Amino acid sequence: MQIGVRPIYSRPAETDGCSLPNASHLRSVPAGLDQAPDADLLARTAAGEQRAFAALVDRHFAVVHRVVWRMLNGHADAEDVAQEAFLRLWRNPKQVRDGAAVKGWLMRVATNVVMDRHRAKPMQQISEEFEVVDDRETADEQIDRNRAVACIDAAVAGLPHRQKLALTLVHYEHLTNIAAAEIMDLSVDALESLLARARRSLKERLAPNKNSLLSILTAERI
Amino acid sequence: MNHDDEMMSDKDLDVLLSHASTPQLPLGAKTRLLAKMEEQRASPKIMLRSQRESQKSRLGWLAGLPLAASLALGIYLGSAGPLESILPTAAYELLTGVNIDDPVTGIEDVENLSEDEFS
Repeated sequence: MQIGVRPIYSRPAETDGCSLPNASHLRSVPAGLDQAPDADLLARTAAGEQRAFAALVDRHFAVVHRVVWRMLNGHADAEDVAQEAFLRLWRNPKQVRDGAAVKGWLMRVATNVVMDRHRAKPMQQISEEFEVVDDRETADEQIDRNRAVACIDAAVAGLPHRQKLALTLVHYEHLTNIAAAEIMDLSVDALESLLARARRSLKERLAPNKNSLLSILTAERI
Repeated sequence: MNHDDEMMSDKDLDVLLSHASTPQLPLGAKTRLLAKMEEQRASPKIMLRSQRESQKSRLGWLAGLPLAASLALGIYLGSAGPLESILPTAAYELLTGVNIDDPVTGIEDVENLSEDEFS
């Protein structure tokens, strides 16, 4: 038997062929700006300095995109949502009270946009159906590995939004519980409760296939 | 060992989670964002915002006119005398619940009272 999980869709890498105004002069961050603290860059962005904003983009866009990508289960809208968070910052940088916390602010805005989109149009959840891998199979290792990864992705995608966000911030982005709680506007206890429920739920979903998954992914027989 | 650990240990779960998909940043995503920033900077949306603000102030004035008119009417009516002299009879009766043709009662009750009834 095979694991029958549909892989998570993700936007393929695209060539840089946008028809929007040319921003090539902003692509490279000048020396000095890349070392400037976030508070300094934010203050300069508020003064209208585009290069300072470009430095913030260079520094934080990837992590915001990762968080949004996981929240959207790999949906192609992840780039648009991450862009929206940064554009809101550009339009009104003074709404960020603490310049040093601009990364957390961006994540909070981005996840709020995700929640708004989900309320307006619920995202289709990844199928959670999967079957036990037959250990006696000699199928292509890469295919097995992809299916095992898809199984784990499906388990994470099936979590409720707030549990998924808590897991993403703490487990995948390695934020402290305090920092994650602040982003989610929760107490630390509430965040830890979400994390505990998320982990329990994942264990329940993955436990039936635990041995098969571990053997495929770690290339060890258990 | 609790029930969770019997299903799967924390360590095993962490191993599995570490193999979840990792998103790749789409090529050119940052450039597209910066291009949109340029577009917003140069777009006429800034003018529309000021236009919106001036419209808002005009609308504020317009909203005050009915209130001012209502206040002026109330002052006029109050200074003009009893209401029933201004309003049509039907309107007055509707507002006050009083039929002006009904006899006035209560006065004879007062007149019937005599000092003997108060002891």
